[in-house]
Amino acid sequence: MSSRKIIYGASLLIAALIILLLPNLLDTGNMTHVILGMIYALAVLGLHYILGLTGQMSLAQAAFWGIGAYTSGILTTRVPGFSPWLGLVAGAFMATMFGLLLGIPTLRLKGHYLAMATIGFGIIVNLMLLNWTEVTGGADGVRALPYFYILDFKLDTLSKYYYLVLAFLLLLAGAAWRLRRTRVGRSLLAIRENELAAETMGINTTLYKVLAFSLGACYAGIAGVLFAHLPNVRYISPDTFSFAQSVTFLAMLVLGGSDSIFGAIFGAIFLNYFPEWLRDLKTGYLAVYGAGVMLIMVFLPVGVVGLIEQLIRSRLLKPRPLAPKPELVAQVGTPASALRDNGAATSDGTILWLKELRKDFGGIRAVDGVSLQVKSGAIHALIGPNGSGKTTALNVISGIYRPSGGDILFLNEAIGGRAAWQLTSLGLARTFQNIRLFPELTVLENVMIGQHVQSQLNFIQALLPLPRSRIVEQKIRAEAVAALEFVGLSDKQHELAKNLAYGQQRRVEIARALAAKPLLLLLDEPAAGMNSRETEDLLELLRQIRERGTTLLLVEHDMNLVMRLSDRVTVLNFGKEIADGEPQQIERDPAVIEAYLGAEVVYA
Amino acid sequence: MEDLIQLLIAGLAYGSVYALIALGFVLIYNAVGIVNFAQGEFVMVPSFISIVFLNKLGWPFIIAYPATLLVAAVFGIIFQRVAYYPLRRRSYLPVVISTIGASILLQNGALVIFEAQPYRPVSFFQAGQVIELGSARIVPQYLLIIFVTLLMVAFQYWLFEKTIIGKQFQATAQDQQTARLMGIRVDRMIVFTFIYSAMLGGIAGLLISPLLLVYPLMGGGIALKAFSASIVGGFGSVPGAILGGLILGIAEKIGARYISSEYEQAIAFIILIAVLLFRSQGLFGEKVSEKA
Amino acid sequence: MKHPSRSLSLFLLLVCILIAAFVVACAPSSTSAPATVAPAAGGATPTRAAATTPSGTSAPSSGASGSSLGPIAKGSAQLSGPVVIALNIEVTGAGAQTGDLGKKAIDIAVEKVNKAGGINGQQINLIVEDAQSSNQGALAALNKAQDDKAVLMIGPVKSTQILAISERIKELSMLSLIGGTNATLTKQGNQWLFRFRPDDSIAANAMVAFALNDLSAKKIAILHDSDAFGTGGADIIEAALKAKNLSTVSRQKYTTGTQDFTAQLLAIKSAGTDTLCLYGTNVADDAVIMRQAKEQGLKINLIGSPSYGQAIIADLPADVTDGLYVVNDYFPGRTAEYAEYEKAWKDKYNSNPDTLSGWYWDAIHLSAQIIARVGTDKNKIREELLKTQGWKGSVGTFNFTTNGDGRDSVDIMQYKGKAVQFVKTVKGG
Repeated sequence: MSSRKIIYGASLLIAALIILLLPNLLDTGNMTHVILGMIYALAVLGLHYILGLTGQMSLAQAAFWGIGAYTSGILTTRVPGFSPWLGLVAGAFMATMFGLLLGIPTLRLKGHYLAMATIGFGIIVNLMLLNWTEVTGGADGVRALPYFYILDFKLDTLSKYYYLVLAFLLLLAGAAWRLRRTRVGRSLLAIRENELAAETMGINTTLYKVLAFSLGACYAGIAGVLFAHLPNVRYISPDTFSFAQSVTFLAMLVLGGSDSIFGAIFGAIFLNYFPEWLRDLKTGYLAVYGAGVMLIMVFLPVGVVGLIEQLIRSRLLKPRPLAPKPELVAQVGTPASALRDNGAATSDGTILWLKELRKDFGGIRAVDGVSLQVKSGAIHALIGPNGSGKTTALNVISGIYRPSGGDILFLNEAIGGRAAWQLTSLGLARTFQNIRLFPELTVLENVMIGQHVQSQLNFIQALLPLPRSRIVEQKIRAEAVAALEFVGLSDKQHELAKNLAYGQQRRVEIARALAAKPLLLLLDEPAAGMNSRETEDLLELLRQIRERGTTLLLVEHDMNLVMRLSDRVTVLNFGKEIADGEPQQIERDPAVIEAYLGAEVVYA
Repeated sequence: MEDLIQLLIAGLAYGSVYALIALGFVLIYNAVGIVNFAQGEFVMVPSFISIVFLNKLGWPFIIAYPATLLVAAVFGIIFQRVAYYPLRRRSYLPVVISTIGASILLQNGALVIFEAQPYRPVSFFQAGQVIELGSARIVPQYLLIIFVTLLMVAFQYWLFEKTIIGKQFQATAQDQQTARLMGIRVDRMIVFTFIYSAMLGGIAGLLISPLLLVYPLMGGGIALKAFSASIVGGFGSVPGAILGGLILGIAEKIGARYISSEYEQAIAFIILIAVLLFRSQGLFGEKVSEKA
Repeated sequence: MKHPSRSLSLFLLLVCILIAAFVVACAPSSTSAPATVAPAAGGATPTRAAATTPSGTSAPSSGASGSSLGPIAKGSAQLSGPVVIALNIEVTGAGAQTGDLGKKAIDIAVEKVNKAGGINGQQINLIVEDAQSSNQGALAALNKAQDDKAVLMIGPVKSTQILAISERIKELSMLSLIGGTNATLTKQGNQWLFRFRPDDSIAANAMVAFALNDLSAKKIAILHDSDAFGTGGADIIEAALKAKNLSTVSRQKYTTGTQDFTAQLLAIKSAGTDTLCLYGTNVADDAVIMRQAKEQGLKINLIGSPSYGQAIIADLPADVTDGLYVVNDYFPGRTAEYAEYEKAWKDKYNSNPDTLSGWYWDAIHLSAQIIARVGTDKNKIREELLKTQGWKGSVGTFNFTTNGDGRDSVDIMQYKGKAVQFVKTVKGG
């Protein structure tokens, strides 16, 4: 242990020394490459938020970079007394604003549209820089930008400027590092991993995507300002901020590893130096670089540094699972107190009331006037043959589809048509028929994301090292560990979700839903694909959840499970309700028997 | 007035080219759910092939054009195999990035082999030849482009609506799983899609290369506009792609003449962003939502 | 990562590894002095730290100090070692091909000087720095030239790159022999820039003078690329017309890579233009413009910028190009100096020389001759450059102004059928 500490300490010291003394170790030519690489790294870090964390495609990063550079360039050369520091603020602000401008409308769209819209935006920005001569100086660009000063100290050499860029890089990389490990960062990751599941965990996906997008634009803007005032140049022209540069930023990111902060920095510095090593190929080096991008996508999707980090994490630095706190484990499955109060206030016993619910797809009516009441504290099953509209009904209730007609009352409040993420904070959580975990995240992170609506930590708090943010994060983690203990998986905390067995993944999904502390838990075929042993365990688990006060509405195929577990059963066929009652009644209902026998004949 | 006629015909001709390339985008998107960012190279590569056949080897059109399309088909297969196939089980993002890489590779590969100087292919019509209609001067190549595009649209309609292979293709585009259950060889259908898309690009290349000359970067700009066209028309919609292409082509010419020539290259993208803002499903598209 | 201290250690460990790797990777180029390696004459020269060996032939002396003719650079200056000359050129990236042509021109010039015994017996050690086809790359290349202790730097040839590094050139007092033609480059008080090509104002003014005087133009229109080169040229044309109380009847812009000019040409046509000045950068655009001008039946005088002189334009059908005037740096093939450049190129590369790269050849010859006289002190070289008048290079006569502009005239040529004919030399200003 202590020898490890010494090694870490020593490497820390050496690294710090090298970083601090770098200007003395390198000549000016290489120093130029390093500083440019560091400035690119800032823009690439911005892209890391958009692509790496949130999984959205942006090819406008060079445009935001240019907006930052030009904002500062124009203001500092035209407005007397406008210092580069103010330029930095203005540049970052303008880039962020343009990020919002582009992000808000387009992020509602799916990935391809976004990629295309960002390309179009980049081209328009470049044409404006080129042609709007009165403001941007046109093709000649902006010259003689002022130097950065720190008090009276003029940053007029590359070596001095290096420390300024280094400070920003450390600050912004540090911020990215922090954010990745907070509620905000996990929300972004959840969107990347499974947008629909993220939405049902209460994450306002549009808001978070816009946040990532404007944050990425902001980083690019800062990079742009630092680029514009580079002491040896202090000149900007439109050709620098081209579509090709956006593609380069993208290549830098995927080379290093899109989900890795070091990857972003390494990729930027490496690819900036790359032409030097391949210069004998002349024009061909760009072809090699294109081929390299393809090869990385095929063979090294996590990137060079991403791979190293994975190895270090899985071999050298595997963290120990946290011990669950018994008092928290005892609380798992109990709805949050605020929600309980709401429920109590309206307790005529009905927690969910569907009135004549309809859902049409084009000409097909998938759900046709279904009415049912789910009583508080019950286990209510929704069954029916294949294609009877059970899952569609569940999707309408949980806000994934808008109802075509009828009402949904949750605690006497009409919720039909609300977005999925809004329902989660009202006390509704769900699981999916085809498991929708966040596969590349750890089991613990998956469940921590479930806590989204039960925790408060905004973006600013997440970035700053406040005591409050630490307390919130610790609480989220402890609750998640408890939820995992409850489903019997607390020893798997640090496994990636995708590496778990099927039955375990189902349990994680339930733990994740329970982490939201819902009043009503919707389960879509929880026993699907389970063997009889796993089904027995599940039965036990669901009973426990009910005992702790959570109401369950489940869609299920396994009749045996339904009959043993449910308090009440509703049967659908062809979108219509054909029976509703206690399990014993249902078993004897001729309509149900006919529906099922008919179905069995078909599927026998 | 004569100006307007000429602008409309030029707009229709360029719009037809956008439409042809947009069709290629849409086919691949429908089949495998990815946007191929190397679609411009589906135009550029066959154009260079035609230079080799027509200019360097001196073959007659009747041999060189089919041969070019044949090579384009082979190129489609190779592209499918290298840029898409290894990533077929992953999400769309790695595939999209891979096609961007392929685009860089192909452009710069062409630059190494053929160098930056543009080539002028041997063509049916002499450069500068025109048909005079009153005082309007109409370039015969434009008419050829419009004619061939109409032909291709008709052919595609016949192929997809009236033939077995077309039905199989449609089934694949709608739902790969079900198509597989129905005994359709889905992988083969996907290869077919890439071949057809590459041949559409090849036709577009043969049609425009006498106008634009052939150089490594020729495809990039057109493909981006074709992509905009497919979104403007409604992504995934075949009629949308065609109409979107024509709308953009005409809007560009009219805009450049009567509004601002320096922003001609921005017009397509301004329309694109406006459409995304106010009618995100495109002018002729339907809204779709993800299934849980 | 749940334990902050561990995460931090991981972070620093990685940083440490990466930086160490980087320093190791960079070390050879930063520590070793540019060595003189010895490739066989005629073989490919390594791109970095390259030089050719002395061939052992004694240099025949000739008094032709006022010309690039003759094989030698001899003078009284004492030189202590190889003369390091840096080349700031696009080796990689989009501009790599023109960069390669420039490097070929430089290589034959350096080879010729070195074979003939070098500069007072000392070899020229040419160091090729890659501008990576970007402003940032040009800066890094300049800084490397400084690290390698270059006496002077040749290049860049792109105006925006020069604008981007002009400040740094001044800071380093790096004597730079440039090829960028943007008129403002030499008018910003940077005493270290020496231009070896006629600037755009000379070309654009010549265009106007020729249109007004020789073609009796009344209604002049401009069609230009919206990049720095095209916009700069068009601005000067407008200014020159304004000075004569005239103005353009139409000014149309397009973005590099535009593939159809119907709208622009219709606008020019409907303005009743009699003479159209074409200021383009990208030869593919130029070729499309020529073809469409013919299609539009634009039967007016056309005067094109230098890119209209390139092969693909000449390759267009004769009736498309017939009558087109082109303003060029020079009309090749009229002088003995050009013949020598042409021969050296053909001997080495077995192809026709790149005419636009001729100035590189001249830059090596002129600087070698000056260094032979005054040594490697850059102030002295600078003074000598300023004093250079009537020096004949392959591209024409050099008369340096106090701003550092070496050329003051352009040649106008015209397509006649399949041939290109010399029309006249026009002095700019």
